[in-house]
Amino acid sequence: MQQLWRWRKVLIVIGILVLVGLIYNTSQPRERLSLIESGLRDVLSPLQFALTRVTQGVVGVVEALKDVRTLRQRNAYLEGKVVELQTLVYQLSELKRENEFLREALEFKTSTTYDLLAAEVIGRNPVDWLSTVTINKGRSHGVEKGMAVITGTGVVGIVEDVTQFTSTILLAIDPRSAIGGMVSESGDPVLVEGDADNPGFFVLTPLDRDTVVEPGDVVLTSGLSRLFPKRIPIGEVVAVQPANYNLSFEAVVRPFVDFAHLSYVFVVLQDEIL
Amino acid sequence: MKITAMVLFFLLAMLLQTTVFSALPILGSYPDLVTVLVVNLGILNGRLEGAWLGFVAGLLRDLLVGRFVGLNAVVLALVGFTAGAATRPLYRDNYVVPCFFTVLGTWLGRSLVLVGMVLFGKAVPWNLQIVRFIGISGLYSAMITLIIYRWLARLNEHIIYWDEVVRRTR
Repeated sequence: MQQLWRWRKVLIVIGILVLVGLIYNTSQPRERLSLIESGLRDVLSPLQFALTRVTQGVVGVVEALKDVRTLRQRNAYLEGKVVELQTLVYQLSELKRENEFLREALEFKTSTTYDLLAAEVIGRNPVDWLSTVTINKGRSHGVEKGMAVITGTGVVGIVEDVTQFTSTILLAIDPRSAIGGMVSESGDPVLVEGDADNPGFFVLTPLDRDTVVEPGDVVLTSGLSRLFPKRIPIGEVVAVQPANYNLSFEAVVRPFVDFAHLSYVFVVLQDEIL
Repeated sequence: MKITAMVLFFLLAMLLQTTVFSALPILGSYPDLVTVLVVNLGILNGRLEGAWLGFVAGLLRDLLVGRFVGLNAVVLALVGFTAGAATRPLYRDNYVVPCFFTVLGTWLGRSLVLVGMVLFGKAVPWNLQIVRFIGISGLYSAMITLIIYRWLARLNEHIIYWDEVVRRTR
């Protein structure tokens, strides 16, 4: 029994030495793997391949599910961001417009001697929005009925009604409106009214038989009505046509003021323009 | 019968290790399934069987994925022996002992393999990354033990039973 145990010890020592030799031998750079190593790896490779495929498939599905959640959250976040930025864009574009107007207004206000009150358009006539507009200045700001309303580019209209804090402006292109004007080149007096047949334009009627008007002529306020200051631009003649059985003529005048995009205006505060 | 079943077991563990679990890292670390089996089978079957099974599992690992043939065999034989010997006086029918020894076994096994590699002339970059990797690997392996220990114990009993049946019918 003791001899067997001794042999066993010897065998263990031999085994350890063989193992150390094997480890040392295989730790050296080898040209190729042993037959057992390569055979075992080759045999198991199809299984490895199949399991890897399955794992990749499962991982792919899990990743996709995770992605869907992330994408949903991101989508919701970005949608919110779009709304936020869109609002900002609207605000900026409004501010840009306001800035442009205020720059023009500042230039205009410093270049004129009239007492002007700046006002913002806060409403339009819902039936025909080119006829009247409402501004945010009224009696408490010194606005009175009949006052002229202008912008840096030209005539806007007349104050038609006044409340404590707002005023309604009858636009110059309304057929009810009539302004005393003159042809810039010749100084001939004319009457400028809102054109009922051609909304958004003026119709010009000569007050003198010898008046000559040609397309391209600029029409200004004459100051004779004492409502508008003198020489405020009204518009430009775009067409001249005969009227009253060829005894006279009338002309179509395109306004300088863009009535469709009117945002800010000036009320001329003098009661009577001299 | 028993050794065939164990070899198949170890091969399956190695396959899972290199495929499924390579896609499931925790904090950049992976479990050591072969060590999990060696430690737990060592606890269940005793130090000598633990050493033998560790040797077989290590040799298979060396042949299949290793480079130094015999290094893992020696290291896992030592791990299996230690697991069997150290838990002999302990009450093993709970989760604490196998989980604790899986952590220790993984740490010991991985560290000894690195030491062996250094002894046989391979440069090993000793840094915190390796320590972290081995540390997390031990804990991850213990989680696997927690999941499979009972099932493994039952399977081990079946294998012992059928091994006995086959031996008696010869």
